[in-house]
Amino acid sequence: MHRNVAVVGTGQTCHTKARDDVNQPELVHEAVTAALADSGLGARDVDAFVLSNMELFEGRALPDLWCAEAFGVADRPLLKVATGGTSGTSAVIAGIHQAASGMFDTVLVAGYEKHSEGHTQAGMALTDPLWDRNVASGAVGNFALSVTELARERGVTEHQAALVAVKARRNAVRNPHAHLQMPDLTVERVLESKMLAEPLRMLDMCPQSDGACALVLAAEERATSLNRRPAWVRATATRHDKPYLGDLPQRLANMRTLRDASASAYRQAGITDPLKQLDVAEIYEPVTYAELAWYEALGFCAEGGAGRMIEEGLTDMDGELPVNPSGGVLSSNPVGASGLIRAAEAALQIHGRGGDRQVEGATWSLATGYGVYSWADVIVMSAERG
Amino acid sequence: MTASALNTQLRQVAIIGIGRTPFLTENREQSSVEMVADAVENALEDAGLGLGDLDAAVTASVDLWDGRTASNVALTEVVGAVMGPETRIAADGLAAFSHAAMTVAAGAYETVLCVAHCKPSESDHLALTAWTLDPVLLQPLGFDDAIAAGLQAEMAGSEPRAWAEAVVRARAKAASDPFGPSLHVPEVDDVLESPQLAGPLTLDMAAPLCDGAVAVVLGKSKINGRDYKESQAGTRVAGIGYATETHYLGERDLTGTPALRAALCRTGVDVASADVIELSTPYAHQEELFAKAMGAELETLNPSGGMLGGAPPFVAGLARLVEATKRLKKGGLGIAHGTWGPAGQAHCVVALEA
Repeated sequence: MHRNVAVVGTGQTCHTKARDDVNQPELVHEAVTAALADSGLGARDVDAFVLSNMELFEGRALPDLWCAEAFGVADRPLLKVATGGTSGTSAVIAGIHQAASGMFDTVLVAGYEKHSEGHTQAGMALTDPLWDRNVASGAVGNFALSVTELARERGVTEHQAALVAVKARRNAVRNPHAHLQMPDLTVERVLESKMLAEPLRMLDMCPQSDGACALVLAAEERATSLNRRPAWVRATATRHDKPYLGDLPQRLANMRTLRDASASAYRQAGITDPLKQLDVAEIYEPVTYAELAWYEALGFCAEGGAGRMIEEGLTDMDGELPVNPSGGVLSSNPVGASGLIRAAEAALQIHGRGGDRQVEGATWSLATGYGVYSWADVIVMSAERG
Repeated sequence: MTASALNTQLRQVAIIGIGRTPFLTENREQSSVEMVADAVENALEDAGLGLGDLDAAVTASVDLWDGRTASNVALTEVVGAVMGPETRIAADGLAAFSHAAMTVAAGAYETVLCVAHCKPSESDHLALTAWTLDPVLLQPLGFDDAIAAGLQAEMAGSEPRAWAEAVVRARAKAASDPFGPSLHVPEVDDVLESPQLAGPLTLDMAAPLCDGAVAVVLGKSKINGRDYKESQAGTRVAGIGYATETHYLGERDLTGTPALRAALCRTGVDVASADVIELSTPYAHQEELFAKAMGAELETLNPSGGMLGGAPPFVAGLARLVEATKRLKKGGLGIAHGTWGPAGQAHCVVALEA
């Protein structure tokens, strides 16, 4: 790209079931304020803003208009990005492109969702009215379908999926922003939790959270002047796929979008062995089984090897490649922000600002976004500018 | 004077192809996807390219109007984004174009498709605009885009007759557009005597809403081995600018239009040097208001007739870009404008150089 861009600061709210104490702009404002403070900037120092949100979940339109207040300045460039679950990562990539273009030196990207103010499953059921609406059944139904296929195709077991749930919610204990923190969660408790849609249980699913996240992107010298160890963007890749669920057989097992996006991103960043060369990964896992499918699609292991990876603790905090030290989407899921949180968490690891969830000496990190049926975003960051 | 040299990367971005569907009061024959497919096909043909030549797509649409979550899901195949990148900007198509131009300037993509669509016939446009407003402080007062515009018109303190004349002028110009909705050209008194809409605005002073889609292919103006039709590839992006005002109607400078001024300033363009200016005006009083803010002469505005001749919401700004591009002669300077939100809360301006 034309010039190098880095994440120089991040901020997020404490994600939770319901934030009755703030309205939507106030929620965004909290994250914006935190990100600006983390970057050592005032709102007037930012050249442009990008907002991410799935407004139909709250039953609204053009939320950037109401949320304009949240950024603390008026009459500035502001665009709203909306691409389903990938909105957060999409917005970050959009911000990266805007800063790289030379139009803006500093771009703030914010995302949020206030699920408590709407009806998410109703929103999710608004798929294609002729072909998909009767079978797409919100989130749980279509995941159950694809997870069943995955289990049969790759042999992943409910026990392995439960290990993912345990890792996520135990990691979340060390993340003050996380919604679901369960220090005593065990595989048994996951397997005893309520069955939602075979084989998905309650504790296999991500929650719905009210929350916001923001990060600040800066180009070249602007970045180095703001952060001693900026998280330089070394690669981005986006892949979408066909609109109808029926055209995506073996959706999770194949996940050709994530496979191709990560292959492209690794090529751009010069990564040939992701398991060894990456220090930390924040991947967007809407259900436990998906994380296992992502290990394979991301090239962390060979096909069929994901189950063993989780059983051997290779992706635990003290493993070969810690995956989701933040607790992931399984622990906090404000949809419009979830992808952004992945990018923010991947960046703050490089900044060395991970607190109790810091991966020591993290230099190369990966963030992924997931949405709709099988859309994928991949962002690779590094302390090395390249 | 040409546009600011600050935007050097941007000025390598060229418009390679343009395409659109007819703008119809009601398109009963086609779904949104089919409309988009037609617009894209036209733009690609104009560019001499195929779907596979695109590196990315940037779309513009609004979920609530499409009645679908992540409404861009439906478009993936027709915008060439299967196993490719697509991003959606939920605003007027001109904002999506501005973002697309930045992705090319950044070197992220070489050839990008930008497409906007809306089918207001499948929804209650004004009722939906109420859902953009603060749900506690503004929405319960019964505000929608029309009422906000009426408030702005009242404060503008001009003669409604002038606005009615703007409508008649626009409809007369648009009458010769083979892709237009073929609306009749009213008399000034007809417009003034049409039912009251809000404040001093009558029904006929609102831009007629249409179903339609517009697509633009953009890319680097110099790409080896690519043979673009000269007329389009010669039109380069000279500058872009967009801005959003504060939300609360009581706090805004409704007649000063600061966001429009900020957007215009960002482009670095000298309006006095512009040969073609196409402004978006969802309501007739805004032609005078926006022209004043830009320092543009009313007489030279909107040779196409503009929005008052009939346009789809969220597509109108991109349609203005297409109309300006068509009319630019070699060496000419053009300005296209889009707006969204109550009483023009947000604006986008794109300057073009042929």
